Amino acid sequence: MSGDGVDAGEGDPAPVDYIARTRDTYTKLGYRPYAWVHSDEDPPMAELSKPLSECRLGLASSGGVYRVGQVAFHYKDDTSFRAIDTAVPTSELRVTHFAYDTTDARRDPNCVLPLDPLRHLVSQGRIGALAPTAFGFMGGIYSARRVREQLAPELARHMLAEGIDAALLVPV
Amino acid sequence: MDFPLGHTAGPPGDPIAQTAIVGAALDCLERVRSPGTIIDLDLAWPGDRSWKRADAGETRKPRDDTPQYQSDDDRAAAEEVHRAGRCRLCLGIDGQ
Repeated sequence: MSGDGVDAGEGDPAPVDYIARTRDTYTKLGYRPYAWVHSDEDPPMAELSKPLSECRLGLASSGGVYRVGQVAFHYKDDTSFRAIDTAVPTSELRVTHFAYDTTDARRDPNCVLPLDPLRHLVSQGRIGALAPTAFGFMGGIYSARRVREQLAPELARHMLAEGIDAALLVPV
Repeated sequence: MDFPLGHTAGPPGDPIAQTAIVGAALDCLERVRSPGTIIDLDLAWPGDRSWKRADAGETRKPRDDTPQYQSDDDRAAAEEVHRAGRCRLCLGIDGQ
């Protein structure tokens, strides 16, 4: 970015090193060193079988999004999720999360569950259709095993049941 | 793109930027041919850079295992729905 030399106190223009910062956070909290999930294999590659303009797209976000009338998430390894009608008015979306500043996401849930942009892209013909349901869940689950064995398979099962061709996963 | 946490799909109140970011992600479905590919959108965060300070951004809240509503109205709405037995939308709670 810029070399204007007036960055003091405003933050370094270089990207934040979240790995180092997470290590520091864990040390300060008195936790054991963070054990990064490591896979020896590349994720399997799956290419689209048809143009996106003919695809039904699923959406899932770990930003802690729920809809008014649903039970909110809790802050301790919550592996549940919320089924949200993709036609929902954005004004009915709510956000709760223990690990990031939710101020902007509460003002505009599209920051973490981009339904309005996706609906626009459907109206433009870029995407064939959205699946009937989007899924909100919590990130910051401290057990990779519970995500791998409980949350992820359940999410996949529900999304596949709606006949999606591809899914957009929005991590937070 | 180098944005503060909580803005994966773009800045608040900026549907043009959000649509560009989401569209770029979807482009990957048609263009990326190898696992682990990262596309740098070279977008700058529109606000100031205070979020990058080492002492900024630590907003973790206590790890409480009760529902944490955005507002008390949401709590009342959820309790009303559940009292009426109409909720089929909170999955993975109580073994659902």
